[in-house]
Amino acid sequence: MIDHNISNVTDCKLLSRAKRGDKRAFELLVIKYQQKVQNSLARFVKDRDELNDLTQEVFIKAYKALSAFRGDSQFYTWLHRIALNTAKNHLVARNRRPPTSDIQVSDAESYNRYYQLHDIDTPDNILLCEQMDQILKETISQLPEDLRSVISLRENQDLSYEEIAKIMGCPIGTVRSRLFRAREILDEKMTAVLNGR
Amino acid sequence: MEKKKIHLNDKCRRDLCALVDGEANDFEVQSILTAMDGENAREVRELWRRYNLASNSIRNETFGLGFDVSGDVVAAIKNQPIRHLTESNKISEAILQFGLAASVAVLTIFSVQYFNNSDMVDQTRHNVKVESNGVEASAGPAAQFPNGFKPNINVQTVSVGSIRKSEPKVSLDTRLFQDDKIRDHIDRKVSEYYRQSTHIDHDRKNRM
Repeated sequence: MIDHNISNVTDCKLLSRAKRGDKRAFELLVIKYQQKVQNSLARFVKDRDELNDLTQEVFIKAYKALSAFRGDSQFYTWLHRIALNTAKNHLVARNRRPPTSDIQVSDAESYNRYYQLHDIDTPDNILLCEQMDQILKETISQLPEDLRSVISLRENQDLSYEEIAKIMGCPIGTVRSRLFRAREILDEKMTAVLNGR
Repeated sequence: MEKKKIHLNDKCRRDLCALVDGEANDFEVQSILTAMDGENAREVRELWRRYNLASNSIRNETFGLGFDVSGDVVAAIKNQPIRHLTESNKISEAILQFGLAASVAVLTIFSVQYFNNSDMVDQTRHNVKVESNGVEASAGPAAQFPNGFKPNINVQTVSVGSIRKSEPKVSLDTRLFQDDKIRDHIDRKVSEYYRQSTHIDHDRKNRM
């Protein structure tokens, strides 16, 4: 069954361009999913350089095989499968035993919010992530009601602009504008944390 | 290292926001991709990354900075073509699929025939066995052979169809007569018959 969620719509748009050879579109997908892929791979390898190499390998493999992706599943599900196979092959090639059970996509999401990379990442980075996550949540709770509602309907309920507009009783343009303002406020906070490190 | 602060124009930021939400139209997507080649290339990538990080945080999904491999990946795929299926590949793939389907069909047909044949061989054996039982029961001379006589019966294979559809025409299977036990049995019966007939003749003569 094809999942028609919003994230999938974005992926499909970028994928159709990437399949036509637009490497920038693929780069946006890499930026979007590299954290998740690293999180999946970190279950198999605990060395930072190995993890870096494997992450690159997964995306390179995915790019070469893009024409084989028909959109029957979500792009990340397909990517996750490539990541698992790449990690297993990597371990077998080095005479190391891969884990006996696979980790499902949904489990990979909740496996460790702040990363399997806990074992690999620097303490500074881990602290930064936790700080940033905390600040984002606080910022959302302090947003004006109209902005908090649209961002919640969009991100938590996965509703489209049109659906949010119907619920809020306002034009789609207003939804779009409010979402942009909400994201800008969140980004300002994030940038401040990142630049302060 | 001090970062050079470059501000993206409002239009580009709005387009990126719409793309995160899956609401950007083709023109907006194209505008973003074009900006990735311009002077704000780095800021476009960083903003895209931050928007997605914020989205992950709100959704309680994986949240982490990890390390950015996008530059290395793009460098690695710079000269990498996507493996497209060419026309000849498509034709070969179609032939391969057809061949596979045909093989499965043929295998299925042969399997069915094989199992039906096995079934009929058992049936034939059963029929012949009944006949041989008949021989034993009647013990008549017509079904018996003299000692040392080996019947040379032309055996014809019996097709399953003919047995099923037409009236039962069961040929005797030479394997029955090649079996030593059966041949001994027939010999025994023939000897017994001659012995009995001798006794009968003898009794008749005595009565007369």
